[in-house]
Amino acid sequence: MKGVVFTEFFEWVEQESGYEWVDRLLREVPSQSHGAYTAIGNYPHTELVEFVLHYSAASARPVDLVLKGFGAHMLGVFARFYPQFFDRCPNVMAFLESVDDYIHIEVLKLYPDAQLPRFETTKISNRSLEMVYRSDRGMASLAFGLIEEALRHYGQQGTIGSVSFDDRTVFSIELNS
Amino acid sequence: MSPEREEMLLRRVEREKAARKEAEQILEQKSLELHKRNEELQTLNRELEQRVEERTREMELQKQAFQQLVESAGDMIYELDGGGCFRYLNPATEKLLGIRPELWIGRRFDELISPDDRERVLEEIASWTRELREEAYLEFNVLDESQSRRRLAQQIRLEYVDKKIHKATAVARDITELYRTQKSLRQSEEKYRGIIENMELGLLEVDANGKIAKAYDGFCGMTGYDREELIGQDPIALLLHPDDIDFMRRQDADRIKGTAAVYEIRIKHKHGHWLWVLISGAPILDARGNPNGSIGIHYDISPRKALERELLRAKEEAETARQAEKEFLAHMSHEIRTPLNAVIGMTNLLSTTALDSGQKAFVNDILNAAELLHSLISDVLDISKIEAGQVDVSPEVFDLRQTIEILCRTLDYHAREKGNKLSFALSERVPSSILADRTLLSQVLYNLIGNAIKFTRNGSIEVRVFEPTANRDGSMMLPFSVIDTGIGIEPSRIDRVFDRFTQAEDEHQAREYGGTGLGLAIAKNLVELLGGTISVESRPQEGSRFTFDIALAPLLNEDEQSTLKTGRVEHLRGIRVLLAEDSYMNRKYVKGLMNQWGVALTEVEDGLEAVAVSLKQPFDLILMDVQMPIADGYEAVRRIRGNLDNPNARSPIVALTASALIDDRNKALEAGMNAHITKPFRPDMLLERMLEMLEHRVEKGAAEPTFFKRWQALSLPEEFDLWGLESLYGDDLEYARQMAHILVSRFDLELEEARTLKRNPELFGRWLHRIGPSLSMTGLHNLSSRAEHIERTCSKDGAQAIDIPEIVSFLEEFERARPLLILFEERLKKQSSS
Repeated sequence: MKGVVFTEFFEWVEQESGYEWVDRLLREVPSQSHGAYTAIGNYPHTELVEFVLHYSAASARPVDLVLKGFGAHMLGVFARFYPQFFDRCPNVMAFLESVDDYIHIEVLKLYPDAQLPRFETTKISNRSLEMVYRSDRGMASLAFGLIEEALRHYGQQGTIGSVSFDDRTVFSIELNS
Repeated sequence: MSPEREEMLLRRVEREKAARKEAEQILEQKSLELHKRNEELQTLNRELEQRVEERTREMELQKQAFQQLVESAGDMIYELDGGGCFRYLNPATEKLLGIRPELWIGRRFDELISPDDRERVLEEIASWTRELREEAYLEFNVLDESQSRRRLAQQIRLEYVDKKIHKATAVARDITELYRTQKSLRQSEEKYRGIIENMELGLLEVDANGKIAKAYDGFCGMTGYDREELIGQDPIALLLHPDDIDFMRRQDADRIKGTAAVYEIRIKHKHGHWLWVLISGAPILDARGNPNGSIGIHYDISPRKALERELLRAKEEAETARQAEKEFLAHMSHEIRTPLNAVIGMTNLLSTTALDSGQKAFVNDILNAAELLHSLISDVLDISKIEAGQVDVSPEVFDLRQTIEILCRTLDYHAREKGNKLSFALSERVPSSILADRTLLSQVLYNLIGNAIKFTRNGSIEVRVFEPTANRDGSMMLPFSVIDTGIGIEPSRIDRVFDRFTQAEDEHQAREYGGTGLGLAIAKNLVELLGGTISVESRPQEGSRFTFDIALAPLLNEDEQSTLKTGRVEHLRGIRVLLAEDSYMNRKYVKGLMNQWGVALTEVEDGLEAVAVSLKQPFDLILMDVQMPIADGYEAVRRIRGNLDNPNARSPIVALTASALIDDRNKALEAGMNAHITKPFRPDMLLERMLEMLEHRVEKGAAEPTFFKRWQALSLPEEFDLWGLESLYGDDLEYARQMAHILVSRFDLELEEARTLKRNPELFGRWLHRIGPSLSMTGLHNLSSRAEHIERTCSKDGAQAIDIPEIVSFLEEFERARPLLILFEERLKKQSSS
C-alpha cells in the first residue's frame, strides 16, 4: 500500500486526536518500518488495518466511523494534490463516474504497482447514481467517507445508501433536488 | 514540558528522521533509475534517428530507381491534375511524340488529342468520372510535334477526392504500326469477304451460343431472308432440313475436334423450297484459341443437284434399256433358233423331194443361209449371255496340255481341209495342272484357232503357251498366242477386229470367208472374264498373231489337297449315285473311285435305262454321259426332270461331256443338268464336282420347270417328250399344231410308201432320211431317235446289216403314232383356241 495512505492516516489521527494518539499507535502496533513511514514508500496493507482497528478500539470509536472520517480526509488530500481530477468534472455525479474510467487509469500510469478498488457506476438519472464497490480490502466505509466528502466538495447535498454483500458493496447516491 | 511529552517528541523526531532517510534513499534509488531510464531513452533515440536516416536514404534510392524507370521507360508515362493538365511527362513522350515535357507541363491533356478523336475521348473520360472508375483503358489518336497522327493505347489510374478527379496517372504506348497492320488486316479480310460474296458464296457467322451473329449479302440472297430476319436466329431450326440435322451435329462435333470438311446439306429458302448447298465451316477462335462460334461458307448447288438427279435417272433408264436389250437379244436368239430349226428341218425335207437342178440349187442356198443364220444366232446367244452377266467363271483343276491336245485334234480336220498344219507348243515352265475355267479357256482357243483356219490356206497355225508371269500383286498370268500364216489384217482395220459384227476383211473377203463376225468379240469378252487381255499383231499377206493371257488362281499344294480330300471324302460315304455311261472302260474307272469313296453305285448303259432306273429309286446324284445310244444324256435328263413323279426329278445331275465348249455346257444346263465335267477327268475333279453338288443340293436343285407347264396342260400320253417340245416350240403352240397337222395330213401316204419300201433297206433308209426331221418335230422322241438309229445303220453299214424285223417293228410303232399325232393336233387346237 502506498506510503501516502499511512502518512495521511497519521496526519488525520493527529488532527483528530493529537500526536499522542499517533505515538501511541506507533508504539503499540508493531510494524516493519518501526513507525517511520514516508509518503513515497510502500508498506504492507495489513499494517494500516492494524492501525485502524487499534485506533478504533483505543478511542472507543466504531471502525466504520474511523474509516468514514479517514475517507473524508483523503478526499481533501486528493483535492489538494490532484485538483485537475476535480476541475474537469462539473458536478459530483460526473466526478464519481470518472473514478473508475479516468482517475484510476491516470493513477496506474503514475504508480503501475498500485492496487486500486473497482468502482462500477450506473447512472439512473441526472440526480441518481448507483456505484458498486469491489475490493478485497473490505474498506467500503472508507469509500462511503470519500463519496460523502465529494458531495460536500462540489457543494451538493443528497443521501447515500449502501448495501453490503460478500464480495461487493452497492452505494446509491441520490442528490437532493 | 513534561518528560513524557519530551520523550514523545524525541520519538517523533526519530521517526521523521528515519522516514526522511528512507525517503531520501528511495529518491536516490528513483533518481538512479531515472538516470538509467534516461540513458536508455537516449540510446533508443539515437537508434531511431539512425533508422530514420537509413529509411530516408533507402527511400531516396528507391525513388531514384522509380524515377529512372519512369524516365527510361519506352512507354509514355504522365500524370494529370484534377483539371486534366499535365503535371509530369516522362522523356519517352518526347521520344515518341516529339513534344518537350517541360513545355507541356500545365497544358491540358486533350490538347494533345487529334481533333477528330477529341470529342469521343472526352465523352469516354466523362463516363469514367460518372462511374468513379479507378482504372480504364482507351485507344485514341494524338497529333505529334509534326502534326502527324499517332495511335496511343492508354492505361490510366484515376484517384478521386470528394467524387472529383484529384489525380490521374497513365501509361501509354504508341500502337500506330499495330493499328495500321490491324486495319489493313481488317481491310484485306473485308476484301476477301467481298470477293467470296461476289463469288456467289453465302457467308454466315454463328456465335458461341449457336445463334446467327452475322449474315452476308450472298447468304441473304441465297436464302431469300433479310439480314435482320436472320440475326439472332438458330440456323439449324430456321434453315436446316430435318433429315440433315443429325448429320450436321456430327459435322459440328468433328469440326470442334479440328476436322475441316466440305459437305452437302439442304437448307430452306424463305419461300419454303429446299436448296442444296455445299457447306464448309471453320471455328472462330478467340485470343486464347478457344472456339467462339463458327463461320460457314455456303455454295448453292441446287442446279448441279438437279442435273445430277437427271443424269442419274438418265443413267438408270439407259441401264434398264441396255439390260432389256440384252435380255431381249438373249431371248430373241433363243426364240429365233426354234423356228430356224424348223426351217432347216423342212428344207432338208424339201431337198429329198423330187426337184429339178435349179430348185436344188435354191434349196441348197436356203440350207447354207439357214446354217449361217443358225451359227450367227448361237454366237449372238453366247455374246449376249456373256454381256448380260449370265456366264459364270467356274475354275477347276485341269491338265492344260491335254485340253489343248483334244481341242487341236477336234479342229485338225478343218485345218487339213484347207491344207493347213495345226500344231501347239507349251513352254516347259507351264504347270501341268492349272486352276482356271476350262470351258471358257477352251472356247477362246476354239474361236481363235477357228478364226485362224478360216483365213489361212496352205499355211500353218500354231498355239503357244508361255511361262506364267507374275503381277505386281503376286497373282499369276498365263500367256497364250495363236499364230497363223494367213491373209493378215489391214492396219486400217486392225483396231476394230474385236468389235462385234466387225470383220477384218473387206466386203469381198466377207463374202468369201463368211462367218458371223462375233468369234473374236466373244473371245475378247471371255478373256476379260478370265481376268486377262487380248491383242493382235498382223501383217497383210503374212499372217496374224493373237496374244492373250488369263489369270491363274493359286493352286493348293498337294499336301493341302490330300488333307482336303481325305477329310471331305467322308461326306460321300454311303450316298447313292446313278451312273449312265456306255463306255465299259469309263464305267470301270468310275466304279473303282466310288468303291474307294464308299459310294453305292448303280450303273446303266444308256439313257433309256437311266430313265427307267431313276423311276424306281431316288439317287443323291446322277452322273450322266451325254452321248449314249438309244437315248442320249440330254434326252434322259429331260425325261427325268419332266416327270414330276420321278423321285429324281430334282436330284443333282452332272453331265459327262467330251468337249469343253460353252455350247456343250449350255446344252447340258439347258437340258436341266446342274453341272458338267469334261472327260477325261481326274479323281479329284470328279470328287470336287460331287461335293459341290451335294453341298448345294438344296438350293441348286433343278429349277422348277414353270414354262414346262404349258405342255403338261395338254395332258399328252407319255410317249410325248415334253422337254423336247418345249425346246422345239417354246410357247408357240400354234406352230406345233401346224407341224402336227402337216404330218397327220401326209401320214397315210407316208405309211403306204414305207410299207412298200420295208424290204429294201437302202430305199427305206432314204425314206427315213426324208421323214426323220418331221418325226423329230412331233415330240415323239422314242420314235424319232429310233428312226435316226435305223437310218444311220442303213447309210453306214449298207443294206446288209439292217435287220428287217427291226424295220417291221419300227413301222408298227410308226403306225401307232397316228392316233397320238391326231390327239396332239386336237389338244393343241383346243389349247390355242381357248
